[in-house]
Amino acid sequence: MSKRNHDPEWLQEDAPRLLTEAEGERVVREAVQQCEPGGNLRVTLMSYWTGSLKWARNRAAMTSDRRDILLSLTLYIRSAQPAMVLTNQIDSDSVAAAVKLLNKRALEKADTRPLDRQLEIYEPDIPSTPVWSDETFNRPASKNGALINELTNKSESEGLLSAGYIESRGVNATYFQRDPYGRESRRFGQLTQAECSITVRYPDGSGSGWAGLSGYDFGAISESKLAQQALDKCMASANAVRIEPGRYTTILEPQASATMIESFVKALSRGTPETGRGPLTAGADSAVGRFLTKLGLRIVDERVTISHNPSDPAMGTLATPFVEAVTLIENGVLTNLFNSYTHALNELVETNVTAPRQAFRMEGGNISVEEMISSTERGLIVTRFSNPQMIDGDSLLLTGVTRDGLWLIENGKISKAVRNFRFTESPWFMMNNINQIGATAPVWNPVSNLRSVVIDPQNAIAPLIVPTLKINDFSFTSTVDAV
Amino acid sequence: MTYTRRKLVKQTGLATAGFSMLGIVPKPALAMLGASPEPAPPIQDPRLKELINTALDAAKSSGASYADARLTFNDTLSSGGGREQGMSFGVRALVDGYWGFAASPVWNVQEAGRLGRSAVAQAKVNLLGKAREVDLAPLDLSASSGGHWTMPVKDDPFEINFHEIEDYALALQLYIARLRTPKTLNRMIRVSLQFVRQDKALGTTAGHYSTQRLYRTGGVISFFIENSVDRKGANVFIDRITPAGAGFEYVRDQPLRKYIREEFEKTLEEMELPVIPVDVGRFDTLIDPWGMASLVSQTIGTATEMDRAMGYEANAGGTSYINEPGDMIGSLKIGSQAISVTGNRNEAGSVGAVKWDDDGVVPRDFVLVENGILKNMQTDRESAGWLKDTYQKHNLSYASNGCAFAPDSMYPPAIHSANLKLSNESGSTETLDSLRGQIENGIEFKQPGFTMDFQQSTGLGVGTAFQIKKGKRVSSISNAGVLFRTPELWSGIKALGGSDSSRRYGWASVKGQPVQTAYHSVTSVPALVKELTIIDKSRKA
Repeated sequence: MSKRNHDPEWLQEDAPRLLTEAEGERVVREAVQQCEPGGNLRVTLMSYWTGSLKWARNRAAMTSDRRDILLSLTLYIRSAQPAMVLTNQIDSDSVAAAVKLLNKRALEKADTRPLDRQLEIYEPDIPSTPVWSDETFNRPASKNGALINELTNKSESEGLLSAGYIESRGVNATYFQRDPYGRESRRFGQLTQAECSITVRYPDGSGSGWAGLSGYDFGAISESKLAQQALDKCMASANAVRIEPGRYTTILEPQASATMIESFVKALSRGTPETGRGPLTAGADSAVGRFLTKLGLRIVDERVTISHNPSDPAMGTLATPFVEAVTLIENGVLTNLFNSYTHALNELVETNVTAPRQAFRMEGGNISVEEMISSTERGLIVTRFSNPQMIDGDSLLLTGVTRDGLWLIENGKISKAVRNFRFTESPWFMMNNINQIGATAPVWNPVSNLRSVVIDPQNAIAPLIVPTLKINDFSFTSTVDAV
Repeated sequence: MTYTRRKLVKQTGLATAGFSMLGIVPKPALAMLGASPEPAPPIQDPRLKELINTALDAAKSSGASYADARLTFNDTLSSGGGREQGMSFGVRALVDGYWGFAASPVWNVQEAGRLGRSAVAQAKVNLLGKAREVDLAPLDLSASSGGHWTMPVKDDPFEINFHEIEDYALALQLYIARLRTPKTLNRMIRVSLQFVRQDKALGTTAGHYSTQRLYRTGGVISFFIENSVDRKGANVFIDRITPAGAGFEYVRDQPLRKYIREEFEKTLEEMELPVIPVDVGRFDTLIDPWGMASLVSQTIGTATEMDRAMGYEANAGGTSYINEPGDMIGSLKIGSQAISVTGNRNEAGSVGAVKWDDDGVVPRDFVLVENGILKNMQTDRESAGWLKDTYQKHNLSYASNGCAFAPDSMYPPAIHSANLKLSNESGSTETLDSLRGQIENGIEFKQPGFTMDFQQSTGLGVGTAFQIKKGKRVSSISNAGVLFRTPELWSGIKALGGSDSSRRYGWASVKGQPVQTAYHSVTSVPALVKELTIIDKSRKA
């Protein structure tokens, strides 16, 4: 009986926090050997460590060290419906039991689809960028403790309340795939994740500021800079006045434009328009009996280019099967759409078809925020949006509220802080009403659901690199009491 | 007599053979409690108490003034056949007012010591001069020393043949597919069921040790009725199987086909109504129990989570319009006299039911809002400490309300909403239909969804809406939305449905950094609200 995670070596105080490549390989091989032959098999073993510190009211509230494992087994045998079994126990007996259940379920789901309905292994020939940072993984908890003390001192001396969260995470993942023709692909990936976000508020709730950033490398995140930004925003947001809702020329800081652009990019999927739904459908083609998409048509402002490239050093994602470098929008023209694995399996019988949903870059411009402000007669500047909710999937109409800093611009200058608004706006409309495009910046977009990483390692890190945008006639529909 | 697969199996004498063949308990997940690993024992095994004590001792001898340790074994099953098992072990320690937490997937004596020491080490990184005080509310050990509790269910989904569950879901799907009229076809049919069983052991240095077996069963039934001529149609959502503290019987013993047929026929009628654009303005608005339960959960449940009100979620989900809970208890007017909301964690069949919460407290029933006035907050032991003076001032006993939840041992406990109840004890016999009858000219929302701001103070509701004239639905309104401020909404209650019209739903509550999800039930009656602002949700400024 293999002891694996009960191995005393593994449980030493100073033992490695993650499974090594060899250990991962051993567990995965053990699982694969027992799997039913045939079909598309995907096995992912992920071990991860998360260290975090949450603080509130200028004091640490919880410091934690968590380690877990996730072994995910997915088997499609002549079916677009997979059998799926997950466990966090990797001793031989547990693995054998998991595989036994997987085999049974997969055979039950098998139907009589012809073999060509199954995807072949597709090996991306893309150099992956390093997404491992020792600084993130080896960041001692004591460093966070000292740092929080320092970060909160400033807000405390100003009579303000600081709350925030710092997290570092390391993941070692072994990915295995086998296609119906017996071809195999395996890879080992290591990645780290880092995030820091800070909110500073007046104790009476009359003002609030926020700043945050995530990525794989803590070396690229300056906590004290974020703390200063949040503090400055908080103080500048005090004494906010109520102004009328309406359409305003609006400057969206990158964190705010990310919310809008992300919901736009998520809509760029092929399955929906091909069933005749959603904004990307271009009517039916009766000759071939299917719906057409807007591929090849200009759908947004010609200054808009959105792409993903795993070898982009700033992107920081693992190379993944079925995912390659892709330009989704080029100079406003729709050039590519996402495919889900199931859609690809059912409809396309192609392999190099899926693009990442989570990580992308929108090209920026060279206009500074100062220039944007000085060229605005009357407008607003938004720190970030909160509680976004899609109201209408066909037009991508989105609602949500502004949060942690909203200011009025009058005659080329920021004139006063204003009370928060609810907005009702479509990113589609927004992308066609761009006034100016500013510099790009990575934003805070941490991954909270590690489950999604098991399905697709691209989800492990979701770097969004987006510009500051000045939008004409952005629609704010009502005032909001919340500060 | 109807035959279920189980009856057939039993009657044909295949039960014994079938049991092992079907692999009902598929996975030995191992624990090491002695010299060698063995399949994880039942949660009541006394050796698990020793394991927890090992962790607590390690935490205490490293300097913790208080510690608690949890073992959880989660088993999740979906009607699609997906299965997930997870074991975890977590220790939380308090050192000089600072909390530390450590967790891993290993049930092992050596690991118990490491986790106990690690939790203390985590807490100690914050001992840098700034004092923080934690005054844990007292624990009545005569009631809270522990024991074992199994949530009462009829059919443990993990003990019955999986194919019975799978067949049930597939049969419902077929049933929906066959509900056709000459003009309509049901598309996008979704029937999915999910079952969770959690075995949990909790020990604290305050002298508590308990084991519990908890269940959560729920799922989704929805479809789209499409008119085959113009391809237009309406979504149908069957709101009968939201998460509950029950087993498979929760799904199987409900007349779901009857509900589906009724809802199908009702929706066909609704599709016949003329569709009109929104008449923007202020109208008396009828909201069904689904919508009211959602409002109770978001505007009262979330807002009365004590940690949130005190700014502990300021950097995550947000804060609360109840920003000075200590002063506001007993005086803040939440809404009209008719509004009373209570909290509990012991309601039979509720998804938030436990015998002991994650502080080891036997939760008490509590009144959150009485006759429109805020009376209490949702607390755990630490946050009840922040209300010590308030509790004394209002002659409330100084204790936790029992709202500490840890979804599993991978997460430290946080305050999540208890089961909530908006009830009407007036003896009223009003129903949704009779409330509609009272409306001269108004709006009705069916199964609306609400999106709030980050202090629960303003919100937007959207859903299927109808124009009501002289007590009858006369047309269906496209794109209607309702915009409200929380105090105005609750002050504007004109009439509540009687207790017979009340319905219970299970909801997820998501909060925290790292994000964690807990579940609670919300029971509500329908309500008629005075003059709410109706807008065109799709209209921009």
